[in-house]
Amino acid sequence: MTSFSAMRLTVLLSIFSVVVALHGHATTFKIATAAPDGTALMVELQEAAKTVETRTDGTVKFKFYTGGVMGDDFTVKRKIRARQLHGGIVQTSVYTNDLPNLNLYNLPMLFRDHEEVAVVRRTLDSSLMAELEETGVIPIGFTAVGFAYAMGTKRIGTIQEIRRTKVWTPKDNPIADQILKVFGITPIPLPVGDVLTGLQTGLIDTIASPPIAAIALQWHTQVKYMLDIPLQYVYAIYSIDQRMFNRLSESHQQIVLSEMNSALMRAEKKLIEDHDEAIEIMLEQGVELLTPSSDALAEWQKLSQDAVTQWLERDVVDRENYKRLEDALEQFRNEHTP
Amino acid sequence: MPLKIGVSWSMRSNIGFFGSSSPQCNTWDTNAVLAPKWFRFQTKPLPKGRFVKLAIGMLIVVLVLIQSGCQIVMSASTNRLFKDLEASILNSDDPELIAVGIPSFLILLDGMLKQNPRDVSLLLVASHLKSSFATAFIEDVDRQRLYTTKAREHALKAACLDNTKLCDLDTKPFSDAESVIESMQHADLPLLYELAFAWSSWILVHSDDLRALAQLSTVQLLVERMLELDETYEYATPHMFMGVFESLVPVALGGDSEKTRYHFERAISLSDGKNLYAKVLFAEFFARSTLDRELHDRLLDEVINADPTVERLTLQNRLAQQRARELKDSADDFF
Repeated sequence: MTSFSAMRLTVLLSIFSVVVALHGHATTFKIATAAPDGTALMVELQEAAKTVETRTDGTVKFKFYTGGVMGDDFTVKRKIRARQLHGGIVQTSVYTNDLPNLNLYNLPMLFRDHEEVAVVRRTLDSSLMAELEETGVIPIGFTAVGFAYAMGTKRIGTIQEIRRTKVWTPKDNPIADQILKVFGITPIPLPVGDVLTGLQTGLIDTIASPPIAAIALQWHTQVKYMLDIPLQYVYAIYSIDQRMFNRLSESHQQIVLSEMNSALMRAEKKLIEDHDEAIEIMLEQGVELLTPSSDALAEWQKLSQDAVTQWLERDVVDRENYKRLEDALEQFRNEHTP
Repeated sequence: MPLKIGVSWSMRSNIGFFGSSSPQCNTWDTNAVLAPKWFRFQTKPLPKGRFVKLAIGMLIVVLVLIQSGCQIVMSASTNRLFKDLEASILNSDDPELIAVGIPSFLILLDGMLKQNPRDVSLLLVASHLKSSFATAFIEDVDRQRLYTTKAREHALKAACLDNTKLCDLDTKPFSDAESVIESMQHADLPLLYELAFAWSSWILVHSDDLRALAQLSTVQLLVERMLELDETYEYATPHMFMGVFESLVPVALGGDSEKTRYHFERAISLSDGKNLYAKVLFAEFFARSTLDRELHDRLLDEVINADPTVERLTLQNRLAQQRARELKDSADDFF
């Protein structure tokens, strides 16, 4: 073979390999989360992954690392940046340092129920997702974990009673710390993994948790009282690596976004049902639901408003976005208050 | 000819599925046909994707054997025949044959339960067999739920009949359940075992149901009590249960992978490595969750290459080998 022929062959082979790389090889998104396998969220996402694979003729795949096998949420974020992973479903606090507006939905006692959440999210989700996109990720969407309620081993009907207990706060969660401080509570920071033991040993008496999480982590077995106030909306963010996503053809990008987003919506629907059921289960198992008196409720609301005011003053959340949120809520409440 | 159940409750403590114990089943009369042709053994792996589902599934396959073995001890003429028959099942290397035998027993048991609804032994036999059948040989989730729900009801009813302290165990506040279970003694081991088995099977196939998940801690208490009373019970089955339970909570959320490892290793050592299923579970619920491919493959290779023939463990080991091959086949996708 002449050197010219050899060169032509090499060029042809190179072109061939590029073509194969572009069209013949599958792109696999490695996605990590602390959510355990088998939860409604993961079932839906894995179903969506199958659909994506089918609709893209096997060229786009998703592989989920569940149950925290890739580390906690902050580690997942680091691994995404290091390109060891291509996405994650993580708690909002992972992003709030860079994107404080993600705290908006976390403001204390902001929402009364899931309906109000839906109204506000229709108004604000797109702008929060746009902020996320600027950080180099493709946000697929938000997924609720539920409303956190105060619960524990001791009676906690009033803020004064709670102050007398040992209150848990998640370690390395400055937002929770700030809220509790406004409430006059000095919390005990512990990793999530130590909460069950903490309740069992009396290291802590009071926690705030979505009821679903309390059952999933078996904290409910130690709880005797639950305060009937949805203190905080808790949600997670599902995003994937922008560089990886941009490698896909436009049509495949659309397939990924639509299938994964639909999966999140289906999971959210199930979660809302489960949220109410989780409270029922806890009550059936002997947990006493404490309904606050009107005075006690007014005090909670005042303290929550103080926290919001402080956050606005310190620019922890953006005033303009907060105004949009407030307006949406007010309009909804006016329309739905008898 | 009317049937009489062959397993007396007092004797069930001798029942073991790992081979060393020697079941002492009473005789009972029957014309039962062991293997109806209408039932087809399903060889596909159990459906995946539920929170607790796979976690307990592998345990259940193992447990089919002993119940089947005892039910078959039924001859009217000679105990010898029954013992031979039972041994041939436990030593069988043909899982398909065992699978087709179970439905006939279920029909017989339901008939007998109608006549003897408060018979503790009968309730527990029915409970065990229905759990085993549902989780090891049925793929349809609705049918799995149907059978495990009945099995759990049988076990809870039997527990209540056997010891009134155990009544309403599933609805008691956790602290009350804790003190009741703490009071169980060595003689209660067989009851604890059956209760834990039926209950965990029910949770297994209702893993997307919060109501089921909420009861996981109570089942764990049952197993912890078994460990306190006799960690070697049924070839260290309590350790196998605990290994799986420990693996269910992600490390990031408080799970302890070293505890998971400890329980599986203990189950393997206490069974002298003859129980191949302990290794399969170790691979699936520890090596996979810690992304330890080397350990995963080594354990599965050991299972696949092992001689499955162990007195009264052969069938179980054959099922373990089958599962080990499935896990090996899917390893590249997982890791």
